[in-house]
Amino acid sequence: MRNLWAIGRITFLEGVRSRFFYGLFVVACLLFSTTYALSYLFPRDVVKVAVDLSLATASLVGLILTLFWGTESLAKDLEKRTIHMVLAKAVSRSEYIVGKFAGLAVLIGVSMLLLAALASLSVWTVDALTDDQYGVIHWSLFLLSLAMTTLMYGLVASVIFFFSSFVSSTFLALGLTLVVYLIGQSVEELRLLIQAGADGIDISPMLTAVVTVAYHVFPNLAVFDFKAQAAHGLPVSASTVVWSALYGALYTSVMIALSAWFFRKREFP
Amino acid sequence: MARALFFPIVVGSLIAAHVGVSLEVQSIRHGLLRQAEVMAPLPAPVLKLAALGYRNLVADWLFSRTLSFHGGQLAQKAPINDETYRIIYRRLDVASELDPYFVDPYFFGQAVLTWGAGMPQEANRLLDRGRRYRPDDWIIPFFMGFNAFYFLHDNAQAAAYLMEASRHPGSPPFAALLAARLASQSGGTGMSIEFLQQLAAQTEDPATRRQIQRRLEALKGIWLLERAVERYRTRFGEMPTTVSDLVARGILLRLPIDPYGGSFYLDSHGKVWTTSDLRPIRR
Amino acid sequence: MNAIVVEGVSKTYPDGFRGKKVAVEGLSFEVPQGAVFGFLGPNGAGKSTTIKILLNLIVPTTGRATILDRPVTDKAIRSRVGYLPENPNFYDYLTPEELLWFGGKTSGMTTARIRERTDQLLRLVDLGHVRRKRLRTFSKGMLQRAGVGLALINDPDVVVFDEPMSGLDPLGRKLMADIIRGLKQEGKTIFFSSHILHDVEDLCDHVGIMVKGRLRRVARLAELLSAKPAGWKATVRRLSDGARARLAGLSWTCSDRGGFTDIQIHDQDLGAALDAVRDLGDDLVEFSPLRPTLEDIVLQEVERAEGGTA
Repeated sequence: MRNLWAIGRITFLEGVRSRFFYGLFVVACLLFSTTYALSYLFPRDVVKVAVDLSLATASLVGLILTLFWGTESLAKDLEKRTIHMVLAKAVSRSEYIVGKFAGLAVLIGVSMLLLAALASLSVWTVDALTDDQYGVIHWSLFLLSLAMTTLMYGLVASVIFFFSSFVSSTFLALGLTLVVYLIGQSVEELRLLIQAGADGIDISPMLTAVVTVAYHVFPNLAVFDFKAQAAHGLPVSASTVVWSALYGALYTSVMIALSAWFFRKREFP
Repeated sequence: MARALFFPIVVGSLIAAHVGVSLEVQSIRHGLLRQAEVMAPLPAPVLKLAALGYRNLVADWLFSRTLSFHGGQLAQKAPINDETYRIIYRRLDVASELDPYFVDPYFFGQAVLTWGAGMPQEANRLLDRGRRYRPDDWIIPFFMGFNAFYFLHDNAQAAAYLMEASRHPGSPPFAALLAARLASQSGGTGMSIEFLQQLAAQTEDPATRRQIQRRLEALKGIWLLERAVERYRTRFGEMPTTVSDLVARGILLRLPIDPYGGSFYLDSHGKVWTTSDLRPIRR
Repeated sequence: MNAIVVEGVSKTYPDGFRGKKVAVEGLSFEVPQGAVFGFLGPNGAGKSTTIKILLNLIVPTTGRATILDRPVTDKAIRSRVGYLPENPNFYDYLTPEELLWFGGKTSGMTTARIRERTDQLLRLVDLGHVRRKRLRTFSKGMLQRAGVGLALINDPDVVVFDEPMSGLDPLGRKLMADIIRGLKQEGKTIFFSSHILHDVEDLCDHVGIMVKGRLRRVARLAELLSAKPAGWKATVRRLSDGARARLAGLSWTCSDRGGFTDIQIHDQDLGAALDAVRDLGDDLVEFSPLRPTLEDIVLQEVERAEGGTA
């Protein structure tokens, strides 16, 4: 346990002090400040657009941070051989993986918290300066959307770990994770399309089988998408949230468990 | 001394050259933009996939580009042909499919697809999605009712939509009244005037509002003449031959003016109409 | 008990589809507790591989290794081991304080004890003035010293250094040598690999010579260097005619170097050699036995390995 704390802490410190983090936050602030200008291009649904823009900005920056730190934590550790300093101590391979992931999860959580604050500020500003009859900010849904996005990025981070545990190049691990992310974002839509049957297009049973398998193997990231609900105040049941969170937590755990398992065999010449 | 000046001179001349070229490029772009075209959107399922979870944002962007294209064409007084209007409709349709709760495509569609494009069917098709997804918005079935009455001449349908509008908690009292009148009457200028007046009150876009008010003026002129014709018949027991008879025999002080530039007349059935046909006459 | 025991260890890597690359083969040796063991050999001999096997960074293909009678795969034993890798890399944004905290925490030390040891060690390696600075600002030598701190934070019984002197300037090397001597005084076992034979001669009491993946010689340094002399060597300022005459009866060579002449007498007879130089007086600068130096021994082993003799 103390090993997890030790590894987690240094992972967090290393991440939070990286120059990239600061640079990206400056970019985030700039992006958030454009929310105001862009929202006013719309005649009526000004607040909805502000919500769309700020959630998108927070998500995009969060994704970049997740991918960056995810690869830095593990793949870079292996490439630069900084892992030696850790494993030479009385630390097991599994403790290393779990501890690193814990530190990374806190990093992501803290960043998303900051991004949520910036997003909230930018949306609140637009709302305060508009007398938009359509403009109501549904705060609990707004924050829920950001929370679920955070959970999703924890999952993405665990996928990076998974690939890094048996692949030696940082680029390759990152590329594979991106592919999983893209598939994860599309897989639910694809499945619905195929089930509904697109007009006039013959869908071979082979394609259906492939999509079904993909749906179950790849993470269905649409599960964490509450942006539409946040933008329009659509109701979300507590059980939906709980099940989605559970889905995310379990998929993440499987990824980390697999990473730890593969990592036991890893050698560091 | 010369060495110290080298870089300032080189950089200065390059900047000057660049400014010259960019001015030329600007005027070229200006010409290109006049012939701007707007592209047909990708089909909704494809965009949904490509959006990667940012569906609302894609809808916002698609709508925004459509809005600015339309505004740009209006600003340059460039005409929009039917094909382009069809594309505008499809863009609005796709945007509202990506985010069916998004209110702007519906309002914009109502403003653009009815008067200018002459596509009231499509307008109602678009609005129908809004009706389903924004059940608290009484204005949407109100618009649909107006379109059904005014453009599609389907009073029964119009009455149905207006009844629906009137059932919403926020709807104004006239909605129910209009619904009842529509159900019982076969139309008539008075009906149109009432409806148009309410529509004008709901329209925020100044250009569209001016259009509606112009039409209202014309219709009021017609309505005035219709009532004058009735009074003439009652008093003199026969129909007037021309509208000037109404003034000559003292029913009206003067003839109303058609804001579209035509002149009012009586047709063979004794109905009042205008030579402008309620369309602006170009002199 | 022995501090380190290695039995029949080999490590082979797959090379291409069906080939094998042998990094280390048939490795067996023991390091007694409290000894300073120097591991010598040319580059690519397998020294780093051996060390990494001891740290469980690499798993041997055959054989086993133990430290303080516990298998090296048992993570608990590493709380009593200190390791300094060759050209260590650390997280850029940590400070030496945080680095040492990490080392101490994972070794089970209390925060108070860590603080104590950190103060001690940072003073020892002369990094006290930068204890809160980020490691990315450190020079190579400073990083090496930080690495020593990390290795020693948990007061290990067994210390393993991989090329500890590499990249250090003379001051740094002296510091490292002093540290090693200090550790020996405390009764720790030190195992280190090096190219720099001079350091090994100075510090070690045991030596192992590795060439091409095999351990060629293991012995006490004293034994290696105290073989019977093959002859005698003398350094003189000037060779007198008389000396030259007396040397004629012996097999000898000489070389000049700016003011001095080095003479090598390839004859084991001490009496004859002393007799040859008896009249040189102050011109005799040095007289000592001609023995293979550590360098000679290592080169010998390399040659034997090249020659294909096992």
